[in-house]
Amino acid sequence: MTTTETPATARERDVNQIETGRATRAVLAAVRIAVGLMWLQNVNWKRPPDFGQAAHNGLYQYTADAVKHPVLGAFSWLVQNVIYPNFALFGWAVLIAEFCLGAFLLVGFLTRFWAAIGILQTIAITLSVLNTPGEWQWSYYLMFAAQFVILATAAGRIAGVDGLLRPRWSLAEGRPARIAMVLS
Amino acid sequence: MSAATPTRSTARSSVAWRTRGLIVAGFTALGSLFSLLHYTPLQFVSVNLVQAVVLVAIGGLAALGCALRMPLLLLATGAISIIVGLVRLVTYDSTIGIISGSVNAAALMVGLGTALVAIWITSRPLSEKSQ
Repeated sequence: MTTTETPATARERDVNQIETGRATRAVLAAVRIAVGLMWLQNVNWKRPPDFGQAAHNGLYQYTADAVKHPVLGAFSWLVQNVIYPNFALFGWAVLIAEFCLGAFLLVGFLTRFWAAIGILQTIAITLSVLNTPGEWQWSYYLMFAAQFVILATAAGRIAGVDGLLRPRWSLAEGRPARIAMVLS
Repeated sequence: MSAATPTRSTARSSVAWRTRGLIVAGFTALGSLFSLLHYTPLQFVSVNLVQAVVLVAIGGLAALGCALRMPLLLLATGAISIIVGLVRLVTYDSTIGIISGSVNAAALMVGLGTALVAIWITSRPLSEKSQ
């Protein structure tokens, strides 16, 4: 079945076509790199072995805000009953996730996957600290916005590793290449 | 038809990977400059002296690989960079001799190492099977 397009619809589509020129592509790459640098800069203070549990600082302090200044009851319950008893494990998971977010968003490797992980991590951070006195809630809304832009535009294809490897993945046979195509 | 001859196409691809390699090598070496920066809002990566030396060495070797048309040097420097970064990640709770420094410099090394390995991959011709 073929769909017919009226001249008016076609004109509307043409007039509103999204800009994909060099400047747009440069901005998208810059957004991806900036978000990568944000994760890079903030991975440092997640320090093993106890991630601040003994001194009640660092990652422990921020996680505790989910209980002291709850945003969502279910998340506070999760922190108290699941995360606190396994805090070192949780700390290592956060450290590794943010390490990879910084490394791979910076160079644009499997960008859509890491942008999705970044969004999940931002949900966790937002549910921990949104009601903490002194926090600027727009920090977290902007983190969401930037990472949704990266996810939606697959920004690693511009000046990124994804852009280099996707032509090869697209020609390769086998599941790893197909998965890499989806995640990039 | 405007298809390039194999020789011309190979030459173009050689220029492409060497240019990309030089750019990443340059950024790797320039990463060491963060060790001189002590203004917190712009100190995206904390680099100590050992990590600065590693970044300069990796960047220099990768640039040499591009200049000498030796893509294997990109693979070697990329792999070393990834290993050095991962070693620091798993030893982040302690300082063991020269294994020290921040974990964000280690993440930078893993990212740039991944880029160098990717450029090495693109330096190789596509296999017949995949074309």
